Amino acid sequence: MTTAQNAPALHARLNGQIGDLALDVELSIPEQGITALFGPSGCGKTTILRALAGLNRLNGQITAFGQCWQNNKNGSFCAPHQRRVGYVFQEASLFPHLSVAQNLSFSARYTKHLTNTALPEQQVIELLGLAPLLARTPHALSGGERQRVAIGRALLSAPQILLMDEPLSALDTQSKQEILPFLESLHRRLALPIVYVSHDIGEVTRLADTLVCLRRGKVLSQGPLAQQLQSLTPLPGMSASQSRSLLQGTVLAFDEDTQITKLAVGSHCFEVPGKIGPIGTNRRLIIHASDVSLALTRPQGVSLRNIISMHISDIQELTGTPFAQVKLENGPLQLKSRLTRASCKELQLSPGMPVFAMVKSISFADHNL
Amino acid sequence: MAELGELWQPVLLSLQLASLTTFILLLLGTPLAWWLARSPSRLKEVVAALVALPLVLPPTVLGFYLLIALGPSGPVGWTSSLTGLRSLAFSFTGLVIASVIYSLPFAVQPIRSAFEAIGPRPFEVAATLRASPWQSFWRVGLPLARPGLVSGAVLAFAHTIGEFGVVLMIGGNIPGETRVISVAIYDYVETLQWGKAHMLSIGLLLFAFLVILATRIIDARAQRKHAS
Repeated sequence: MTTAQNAPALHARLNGQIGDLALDVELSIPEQGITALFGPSGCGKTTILRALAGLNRLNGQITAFGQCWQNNKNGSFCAPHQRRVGYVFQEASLFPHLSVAQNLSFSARYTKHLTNTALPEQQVIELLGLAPLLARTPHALSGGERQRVAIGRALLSAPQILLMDEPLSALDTQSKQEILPFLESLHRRLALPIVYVSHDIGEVTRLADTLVCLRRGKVLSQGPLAQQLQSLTPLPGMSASQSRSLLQGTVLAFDEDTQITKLAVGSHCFEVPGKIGPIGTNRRLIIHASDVSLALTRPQGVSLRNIISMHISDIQELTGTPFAQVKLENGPLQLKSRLTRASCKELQLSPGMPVFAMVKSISFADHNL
Repeated sequence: MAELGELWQPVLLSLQLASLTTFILLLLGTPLAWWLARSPSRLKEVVAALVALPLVLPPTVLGFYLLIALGPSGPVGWTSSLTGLRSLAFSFTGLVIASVIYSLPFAVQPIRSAFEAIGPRPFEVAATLRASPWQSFWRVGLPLARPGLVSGAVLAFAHTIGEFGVVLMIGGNIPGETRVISVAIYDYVETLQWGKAHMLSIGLLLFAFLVILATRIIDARAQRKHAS
């Protein structure tokens, strides 16, 4: 799991008044992995990201990679082109007068003297599947293709950190599905810290390692994502019905006959349909609380394959709704279950009680935690 | 033949004046338009109003003040001693200075609009791709504003060819020096040489038509490019 405790790649304290929003945040971006700035729209995510890039000027200070990018005390402010950030905007914003290849190499003449480039050009082109697009002009591309070029262009600017402002939000569902795997493989292949602004918990659980929850210009919590998802209280910007757990599993075996993959999560074994990945690889498992039902005795004669003996560690009734949320534990394994308050009462559930968790479905992200 | 030469002289002079004026206007007007389009300064509306002044001011008023300014005792007059002339008034140089001022809004307006139409985003992108503001101007601003630059140049050129009032006030009617087409036409009419007046006038009419047609085609092309 990515550690936020390491010396951060970037540290920022920022404050300012933007319209009605009083912004006041302190952020630490770890050196590895994807940090999601997550929260409802209007909470200041984009403003913070723009301030990190120097496109907006807020009060405060930003230190990144041992350099001072901004310090209000002595009035220093590093211009955007002097900060080594790659920035992906919500809209691809390709230069319309340049071809895809020219867009990609726009920064080449300014970065010749810089080492430590994220990836060489050939690898970026291969990673993002840009080879067939190079000769085209931006207006001949689909939305998803444009955003891929924009990501590639940012990666080729020799960034020390990649800032992405809801890069998927302007795209339709199909283009999103087309780009998500690219982002996941970026995460796997790059040792580059990424700050990812999003209001979509689905994207965040697939991609992020560290989560910064924002609301109305303030940081509510920041830390490793899996840890934060364990809380029964829904994160800001996320409804209780979206509650989910994030686990790390290792592929153990694949049965050719039944087409079932076995995954180890701690000392437990999960069975999932289909081929998930080569044996020994790590996979991120996402289990929605609404996909976990409870039974007091080990159920017999059911089609569900993943039934785990656990005990209840916490119960939260969502008053005013029909539902309750139950936190389950078995050693390091933690799950959440969402059931009706009526069943909670009928089964007389209480903390400490042993139960059987029945997991209806598991989804995967393409990379490990 | 001599007659044709007599007709050609004002045409050539007008073309010379308009080319030089357009060149200077692109050189001065482009940075000015850039500043007007992108500066947050409050002063810019004042400057914009000054630039636009020749649009509404009678050319004779502008010509009158330029005459005083460029004359031997005017504030700019002393510079004429450097060129060895008695005064910049009634000289080709004086005409160029007057034309630059008079045609300034015709060059600056379209270029400013083109810069404004680009919006801040492409420059933000360029900055995050390590380009300094100066490099962004050359690699993003100018290429994206090209249709505006072309129509600014065409309008400034055409407007300089057609100016009359300012020229008459400050340049007079010196053949080969300040006798441009419009002044020549006026002169031919005054001296009842209608045939010559006709030839020059029809030439200008055709020229004006072609200019307007050309700008329309440029605009339409730019829009089509934008739409696709």
